[in-house]
Amino acid sequence: MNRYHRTLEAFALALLLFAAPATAQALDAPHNIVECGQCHSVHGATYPNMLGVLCESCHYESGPATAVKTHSSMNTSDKYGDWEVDCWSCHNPHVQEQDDAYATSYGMFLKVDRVAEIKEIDPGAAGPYYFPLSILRTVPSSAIEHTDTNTFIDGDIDSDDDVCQVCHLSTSCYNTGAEFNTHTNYGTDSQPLGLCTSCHYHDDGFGAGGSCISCHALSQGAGDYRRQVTGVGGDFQRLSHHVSDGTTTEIVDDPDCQVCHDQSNHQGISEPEVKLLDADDGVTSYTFDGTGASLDTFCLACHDSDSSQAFDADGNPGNGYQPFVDGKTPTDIATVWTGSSHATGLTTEGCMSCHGGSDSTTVSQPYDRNVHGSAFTSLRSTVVASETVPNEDEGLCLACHDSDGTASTDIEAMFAGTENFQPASNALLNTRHDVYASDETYSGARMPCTACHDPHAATSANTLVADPDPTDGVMPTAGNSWAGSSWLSEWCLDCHDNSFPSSVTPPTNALVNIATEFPGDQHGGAPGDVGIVLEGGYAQGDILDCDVCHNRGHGDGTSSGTYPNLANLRAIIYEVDGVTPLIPDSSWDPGNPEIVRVLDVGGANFDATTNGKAWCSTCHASMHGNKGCLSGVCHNHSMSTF
Amino acid sequence: MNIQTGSLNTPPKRLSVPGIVALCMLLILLVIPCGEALAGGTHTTIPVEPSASEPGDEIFTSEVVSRIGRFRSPTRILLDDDGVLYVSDTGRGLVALYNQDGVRVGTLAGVGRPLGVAILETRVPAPGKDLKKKKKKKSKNTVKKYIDKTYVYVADEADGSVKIFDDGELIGHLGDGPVEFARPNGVAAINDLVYVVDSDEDRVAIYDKDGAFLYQFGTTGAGDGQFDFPTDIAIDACTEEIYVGDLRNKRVQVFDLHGNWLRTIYPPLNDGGDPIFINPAGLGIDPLGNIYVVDNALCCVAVLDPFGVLLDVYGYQNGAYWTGELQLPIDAASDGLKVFVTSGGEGHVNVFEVTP
Repeated sequence: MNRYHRTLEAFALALLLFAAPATAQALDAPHNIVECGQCHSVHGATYPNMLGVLCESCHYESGPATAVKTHSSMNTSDKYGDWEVDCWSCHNPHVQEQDDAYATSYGMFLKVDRVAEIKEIDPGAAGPYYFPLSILRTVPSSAIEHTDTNTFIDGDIDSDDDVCQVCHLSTSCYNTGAEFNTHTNYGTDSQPLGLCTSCHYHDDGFGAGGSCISCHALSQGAGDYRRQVTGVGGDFQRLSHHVSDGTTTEIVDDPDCQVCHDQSNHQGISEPEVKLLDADDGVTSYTFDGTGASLDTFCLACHDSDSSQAFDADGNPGNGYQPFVDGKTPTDIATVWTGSSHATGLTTEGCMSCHGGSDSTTVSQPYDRNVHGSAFTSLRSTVVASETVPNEDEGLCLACHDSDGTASTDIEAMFAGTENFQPASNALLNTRHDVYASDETYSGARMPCTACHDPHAATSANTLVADPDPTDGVMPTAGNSWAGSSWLSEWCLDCHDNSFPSSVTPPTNALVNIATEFPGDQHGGAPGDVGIVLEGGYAQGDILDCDVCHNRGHGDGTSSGTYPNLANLRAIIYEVDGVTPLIPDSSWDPGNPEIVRVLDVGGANFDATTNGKAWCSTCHASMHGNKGCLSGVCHNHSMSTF
Repeated sequence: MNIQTGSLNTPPKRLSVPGIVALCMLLILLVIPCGEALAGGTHTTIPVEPSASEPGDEIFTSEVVSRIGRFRSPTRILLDDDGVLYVSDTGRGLVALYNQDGVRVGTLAGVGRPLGVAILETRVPAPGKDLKKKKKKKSKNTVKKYIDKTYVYVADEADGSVKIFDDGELIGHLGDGPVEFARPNGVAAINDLVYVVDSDEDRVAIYDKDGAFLYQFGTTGAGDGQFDFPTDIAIDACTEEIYVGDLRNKRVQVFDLHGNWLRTIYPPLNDGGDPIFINPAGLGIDPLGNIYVVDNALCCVAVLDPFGVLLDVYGYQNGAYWTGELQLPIDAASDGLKVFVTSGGEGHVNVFEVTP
């Protein structure tokens, strides 16, 4: 370069600098209030064109201008790589070109008949401005239509002249007749008023397909083609639902949907699919094959010890892998599920045996088998209408655990007894644990099956939860409350210490605190009456476990008949070996020599103050007098004579 | 936190946070008037000019230690006394409540485009108590005349209102409700008064806790006490000074509770001689009285003392902005130990730990 050229260049530069203020004066409204220096920085600029700060310095939430986001892979999809169509691909911030060219007054600063550029960005760069690494594609445009207020976004297919079509006639996404043209399937449903921006908002980066929840706020199409998942009546406003902050307010958001759903062929040209996405690798898809069991892997990918490794609500996988906006850690089911009775028994429907099927009385409608939300707690399925037990907490369990169910144990029959009584302690008691809604009307108590059993972990060898009352800080351990007690007794006392977990509603009148009383009982740690002769191998000073005398809470199936066993006492008492039935003194009940009852002979009295002698005499072969034992006067828990 | 005096080039004089906290507690215990303790007994009315700085090798290091929540458009943020974060999400039309473990603990819904949030702990007459009636005779029964209430005020850009919530329920509005404000933005509350920044009308309006308009201050302009798109407001409960971000004037102005102008804080200069902030979009204040000026354009948070001396910067490292720590931040809150910044570009609240 010779001296002349250098001088010319310096002159040109000086001219440019002096001309800058004049340019500012030439800005079209409303940008005419912006000074050059607010966008451009001669010193220390890090972006080409001497841009110091960009459009977002004014166009931000709570800022002086309308909040917008650029159209990029960061705001839409990275299926086609990491790209951005930055502001000035569509806009000329200096001049209202569309107004000048078409004598309109839209005020959008839209470029007219300009080449648009799709630029490569590095999503791992510092941002917030994704400086272009390269120009991926240059898209020449035809003249952009501006004959009416919304013509530049009208999405019409008759003319290819709106601002969106500048690119989307040349890209493979959402162009006419190629992949991802969702509008083919949904017709006018997806194009309200024909305006692209009715669904693709500028303040959301023109997200492809718009918002999941905005489309799925209404059911559309024949056969529930588009399911309503949000809004009033939607799945996520049901009693229990995924993604919740504990209020009735629906908080599910698009990214929550994308935790579970692979959208790769959602809204495809052919029959749309709602694939499910692996929460750990974020890539593997699962397809519902008609059986609930086909979804188990999908469910357990998130409901395991490491929750979701691919998704995290706060972008911070190191602090817990909570995938949803509620920030909650998914319950770890997988750890206990393998080998459980339900895992080995529910091979067809798996998790969906109990969960999902939100509002149908059957599970015959595939689109109803989801776990968005349920009308029942814990996303429980609806029990089919033919079940005899109401669909309360116990209904779901007893739907299978009944005489005609798929479960091997008929628990419903055990709960058939309906007797109740009021012992000396003044508590109103049912003859079993109060799992039915109807039980609560007498005792005031209510407890779900899950207070004692973990349906995800229970095995035939171990049906009980490890700690029925985790709130008291006491883990049932043999010898915990009184010397020599078994684990099972300690387990019972975890609640029979009058401290209950939150899932249990205690009875209106407080129970006897057996954890406190039992060590002083002669059935517990206190010395017994040496004059009493014991049968079945029991000896003076034995500490009896709870289940020597009591059933475990289900009841024994007797119901309002002749022989109800109050306080859920056993119908058959076993010798100390726990296997051999003790034969009672038949003189107390000639008709049922092998079944002992609390009720006295003749069945006239159901109250605990006059009966029990027949039952007690099974072990206590030599007894004083001929009166009831389990009375408030003589023998009962909380008495030193017991 | 690096408590520094002077410019960016000055070696920091480090004071430990426990020491500062202990000093603050001691002052409180001795019932020394806050204003005297922290402001030397008198309010200065001298504008604080930009502090000079020479380019140097000062390096501020800040690192996001965690992120909270996922938002569509997180804007303003408030930290209550229980450590619960109130984050307004304009994109979703709600205020989300998170604990500091990132678990969502509540929602204030029914707000079109929520911006500023303020909490006011107050007392209101107990139900059924007519306090104007005199009791004929004294009763030994201690019946409560008042009950404690915690009102939450939320600016709603959508309808130009500030909504009042009580225990999560919408119970009213400030003033006439919708269109009371042209553009309600930052909100703050103290002494049963609610201060609302109306960005489009370049004013701060003051209401009583029940919503009755009392007075306002601020006019359009660049002079003392004037605004050009005021954004956010923060109140130092100790000194009873009000800080208002003045966006287009690129400054923070300080007032007393009556709206009397006290001083102006201009941005200190960075290593390159440029202002450390140019777009004061949001303000926060911590229990020590430090001011957090959030710049959405430079993507940084400048920490200043009450007189504008630069103490620290988040999102600015090795003399460069746009470190990636913050993407389009709008607002900040701090308890003196952590700094919570809404990062609009990421859709999270980014958490910084104050370095002891």
